[in-house]
Amino acid sequence: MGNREKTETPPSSEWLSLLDSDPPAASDKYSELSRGLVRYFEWNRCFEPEDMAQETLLRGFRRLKEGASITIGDPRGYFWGIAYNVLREGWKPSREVSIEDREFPVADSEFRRLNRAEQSIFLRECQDALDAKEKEMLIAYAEGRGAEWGGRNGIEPGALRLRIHRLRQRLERQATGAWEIKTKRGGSFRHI
Amino acid sequence: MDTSSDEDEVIAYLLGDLDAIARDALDARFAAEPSLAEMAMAIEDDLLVEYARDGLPSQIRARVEKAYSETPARRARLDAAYAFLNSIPRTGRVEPRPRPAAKRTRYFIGSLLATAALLLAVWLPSRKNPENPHIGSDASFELEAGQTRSGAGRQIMLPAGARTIEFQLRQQNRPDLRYWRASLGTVERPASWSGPASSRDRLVVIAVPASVLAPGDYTLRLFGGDAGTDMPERATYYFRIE
Repeated sequence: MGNREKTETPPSSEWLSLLDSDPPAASDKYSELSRGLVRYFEWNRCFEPEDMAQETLLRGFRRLKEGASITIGDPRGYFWGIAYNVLREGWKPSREVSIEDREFPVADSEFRRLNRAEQSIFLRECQDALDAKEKEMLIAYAEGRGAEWGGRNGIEPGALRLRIHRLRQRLERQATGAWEIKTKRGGSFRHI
Repeated sequence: MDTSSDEDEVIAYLLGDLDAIARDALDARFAAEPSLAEMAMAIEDDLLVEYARDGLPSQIRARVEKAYSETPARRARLDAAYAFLNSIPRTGRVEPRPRPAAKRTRYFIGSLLATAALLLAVWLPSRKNPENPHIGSDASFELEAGQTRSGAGRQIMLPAGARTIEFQLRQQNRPDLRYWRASLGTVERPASWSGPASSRDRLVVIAVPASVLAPGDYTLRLFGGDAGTDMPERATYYFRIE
């Protein structure tokens, strides 16, 4: 992941308020946006997708702070447009780390370095909080009965796929939070 | 948005099958239509979970393997699909999905041969490793507390290439406890590994790197408590790695 120091601290409320005046909503939008940008750079076979997503966020927020306005209906498009330019110009991460660089963490970057079984444990813990319908949907999907379940519940395959995606994003956000708490508490997943 | 053709195009994009012009056009569309980008993420999730579930025809599976070995981040994305799939409890009513080959997309239009290959791909691994038909190179073993290494202790043969082994620990005393932790050791190295665990029904589940499980006799001690700081020992398990 390049040479930039990563932090799990979210951007300051000053930055986040540019996305939404409601702090929790702004935080969710930031998380969704940063994860999407990382995917975009992954899709384009970049070796530093998280650094490139950070660069995109930094440029976008800086421009907004300088007075630029989002002219398209969905603010995500503004950042995806910047990502497109970051990719085309062949931007590479610098060895220099500025304060601003650290302002824009990519939420789950450290969590995704856990191995798959470790990730599974945290994700499983977070499923306890799902309501019964969500659990039923998830299990049907995992067992390859998603289409049948969707048919019984009046949900088209494309809509079901999107629901599963959003549910998974939510679980991964929660699992990342749970992992951070346990790590801070006392060195989980250490070999001793 | 023409969902069907968009879906085909996104899959081609993910697998690296679009030419440069089409690829650039789709990248530009993500900025103009962020909902398309979200749909692409959902398609990618679905594709990789299907891969992890052995639900893809072999030719698509090979292309996924190639595309998702190109960068470390893409490999991690595929690993995350396994992690997600393995985190979901099952009812045992697993069924192969006819959807990908039959109607989802032109990418999944296959012949009867592909369908047969799909059924075999799902059936054969489940025959080889009935305890863990979904984990790929990893494996899962259930342990009973208190059994001794000699005699009734569990004898375990690790599958080749496994990176992480999951142990499902049966414990009868306190399934209500909130925090769990396990410690693993041998006679020579009493504390060779420790890590957190999570509870599910009457099972406590831990994941142990296969690299610490050399052949030999092991003692696994389980600690649990209502607070993370006060966790007395709750059970001991014995097993042998062959």
